[in-house]
Amino acid sequence: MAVTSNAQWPDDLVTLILLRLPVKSIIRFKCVSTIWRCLFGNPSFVSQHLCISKRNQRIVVSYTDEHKHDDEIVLRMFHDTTLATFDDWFPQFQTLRAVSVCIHDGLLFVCDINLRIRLWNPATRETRFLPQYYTDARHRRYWNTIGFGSDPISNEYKVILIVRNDKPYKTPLLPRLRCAVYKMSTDSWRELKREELHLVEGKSLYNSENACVNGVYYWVASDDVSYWKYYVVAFDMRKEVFQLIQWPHIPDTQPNSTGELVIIPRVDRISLWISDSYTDSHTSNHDFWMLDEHGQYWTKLLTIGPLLELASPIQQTVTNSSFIRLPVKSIIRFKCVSTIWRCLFGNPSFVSQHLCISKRNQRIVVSYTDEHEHDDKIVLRMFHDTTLATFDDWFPQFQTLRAVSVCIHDGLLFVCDINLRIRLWNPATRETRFLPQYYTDARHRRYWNTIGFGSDPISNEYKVILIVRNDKPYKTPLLPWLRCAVYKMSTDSWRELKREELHLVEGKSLYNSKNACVNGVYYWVASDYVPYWKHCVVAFDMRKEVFQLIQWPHIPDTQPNSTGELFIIPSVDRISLWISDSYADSHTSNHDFWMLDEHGQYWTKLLTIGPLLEVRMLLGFWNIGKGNIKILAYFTNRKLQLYDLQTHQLIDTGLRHKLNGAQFCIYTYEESLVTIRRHR
Amino acid sequence: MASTLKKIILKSCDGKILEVEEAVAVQSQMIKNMIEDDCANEEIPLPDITGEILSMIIEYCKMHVDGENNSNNELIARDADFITRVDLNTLYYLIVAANFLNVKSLLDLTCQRVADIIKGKSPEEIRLTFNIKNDFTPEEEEEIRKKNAWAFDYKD
Repeated sequence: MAVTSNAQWPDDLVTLILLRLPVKSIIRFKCVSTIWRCLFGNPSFVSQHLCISKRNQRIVVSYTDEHKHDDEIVLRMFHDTTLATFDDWFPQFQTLRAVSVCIHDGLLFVCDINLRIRLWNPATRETRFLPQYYTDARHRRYWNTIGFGSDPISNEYKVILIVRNDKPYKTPLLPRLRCAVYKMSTDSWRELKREELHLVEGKSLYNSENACVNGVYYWVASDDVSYWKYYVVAFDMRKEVFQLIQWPHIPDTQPNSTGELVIIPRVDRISLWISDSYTDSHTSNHDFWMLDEHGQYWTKLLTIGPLLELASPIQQTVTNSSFIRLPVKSIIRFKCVSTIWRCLFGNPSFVSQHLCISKRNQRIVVSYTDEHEHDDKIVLRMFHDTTLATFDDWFPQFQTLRAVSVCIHDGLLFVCDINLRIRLWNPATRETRFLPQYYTDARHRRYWNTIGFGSDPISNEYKVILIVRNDKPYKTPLLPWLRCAVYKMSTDSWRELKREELHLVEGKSLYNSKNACVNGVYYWVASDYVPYWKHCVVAFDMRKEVFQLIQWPHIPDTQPNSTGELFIIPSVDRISLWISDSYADSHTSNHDFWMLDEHGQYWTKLLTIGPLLEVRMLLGFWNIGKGNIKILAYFTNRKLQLYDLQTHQLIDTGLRHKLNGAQFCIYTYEESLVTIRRHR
Repeated sequence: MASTLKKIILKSCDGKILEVEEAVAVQSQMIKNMIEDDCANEEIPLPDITGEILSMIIEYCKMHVDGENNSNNELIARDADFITRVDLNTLYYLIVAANFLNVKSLLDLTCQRVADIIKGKSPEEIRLTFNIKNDFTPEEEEEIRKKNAWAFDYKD
């Protein structure tokens, strides 16, 4: 519909109309004339438009829709009160692992678990990634508080980020509390000084969703020691100072009733809803308290209720902490208890908590030929417990698979056959994924290939690394000497590493390890081609996708060609190295385990066991639960034994490998809910 | 060892007052923090923990303090004996309390117990146990059951 009137519209009236346009139309109308373009960029137009826009708020919900088939978490903006139409923001919201989202003045502030912060204006589609300020990976384990808002006088947008070390006994070197403020105009951060933080020291601040009013950001906080004492902490965005506001005085409240901060529209004041989670929801009223304009006193604004059936957060915590201890099979069965349960079981945080618990109760998976069976079949057998009495045979066709490598990580099996066809399998949920084949040249199967499979704990991204090498260059001179590709599960695609990214592994032989991904880093024992007796450990950082070289521990008097095996130490999540001295006399020699420090640079001796008679190989640590860790040992007479770290005794498991059977391999495994199904 | 004689006073939500030796009380990380910060000189109010539950928790903590010198296996056996006496309803309150008082080993024990009790149940039994309304349409529920038929074979 065209407007064809010749009449001259008064400019101020036009402006009044334009102020009421949706952003999309305004952006389109930028090309009407230069005056209009100028007008739309004018800060006063922007702020007036925002004022009017605030009269017509929409809601944004992050949730999992009951009517959808998958359990994906969406960030959904509904166009109106009917909730009939909507836009889904950040289609990748689930994988973003956003710890906090704030919305202020139509801007979305998203902070992920790694403290990477982005600002986004969904209406104009502008994005800004903030320079990362606290880059220490350990900060992600902290309890972080964020705030985002603007100073209405200077129209300056600011972000406040508070990181705290809530495990000071684990990371004593990191400061207990740090805080920085980001200014959008200068695109820079300023660290607050220690003395500027005294009001928030010793307090836990709870993130609020929309809580910036008139240039002040508010959080509910509680005292770390007198946990029942609540406050409201405010941060003045203009002066960049903290303020402390006392909790309203309410007689007869339970000491630990907490609250939520809510902005009251139109009057632009902050209000506090005090929830008394322990009183009976059938009878209790809900009170809203409003803060006065000086930010000092609360007055009761309104009372609603009683409202029946408001969810009690306590009930949820109790049931959740039991559910993460259930076997996967029960969880899958309980998916049909109710839609809420189905959602819960698909939630990434539930999946990772479940895995944490499951890791305390490892099982072993053995690929071997059983002496007690008639045929010489190689089986891949998962034993249910330490008695080794019952088991499941995985891949009944394991022998014909001609698997060159099997890795197990987070309850997922990675099987790579001789033709470099790779499959992932979660035996607990029975999901399978075949990876797209990357190196298809038939000659690659003759190569000496190295594989790794693991996950980056920060993004929860599972990755595969595949290194193929031409070890017969005189036969196939045209094939490159070394190639390497990384597969990402979320995108279902491979990336070939460039020549220069490979220089650390050039001229080295990498030996496949079994379970060797810890904290997002995969490890292999490697040796130089020349001189062949020089060993080292090569690591691949799954997050940054770079190789690292770790020197062999310095041990005087070792044979030049003593090699090693890498094992994960359960519960501390570190990699350890067992150095086997194949030429030393096994009757007298001790077995040393070396542990790598958290920076991945130095080895320290963890423990020494032995001498163990006739032990040919140590095969790893086995966490059988309740703090009991055993070492798996393999005897020259084809027996699998368990070494008890507490009693220093060897126990025969009864498992026998057949004489002349193919290679004996053992892995630890824990059930997990990690999904490998492809997203449509 | 003079400090072990110090008593900590806990007050349950139904007004019951219990005196506990410090060595027992510090099994609760929360109380331990309060003692370290010198905030435990007066009685400590414990909302939502009844006297009955509180005495069970203290019994458990005592058991762990007294059993410090026993072997790991003996403690595990005692834990098992303690927890099998508790019904599901009481377990719920124990979990709430253990979570609040931050007694990690008890929280682990109680949660594992609930998991063990419910893991072999059918969805119908679970709805009864936790008082959950079935909000699936019959078609939706059928689809889930079909998709995961193997998980419903749970006679083991």
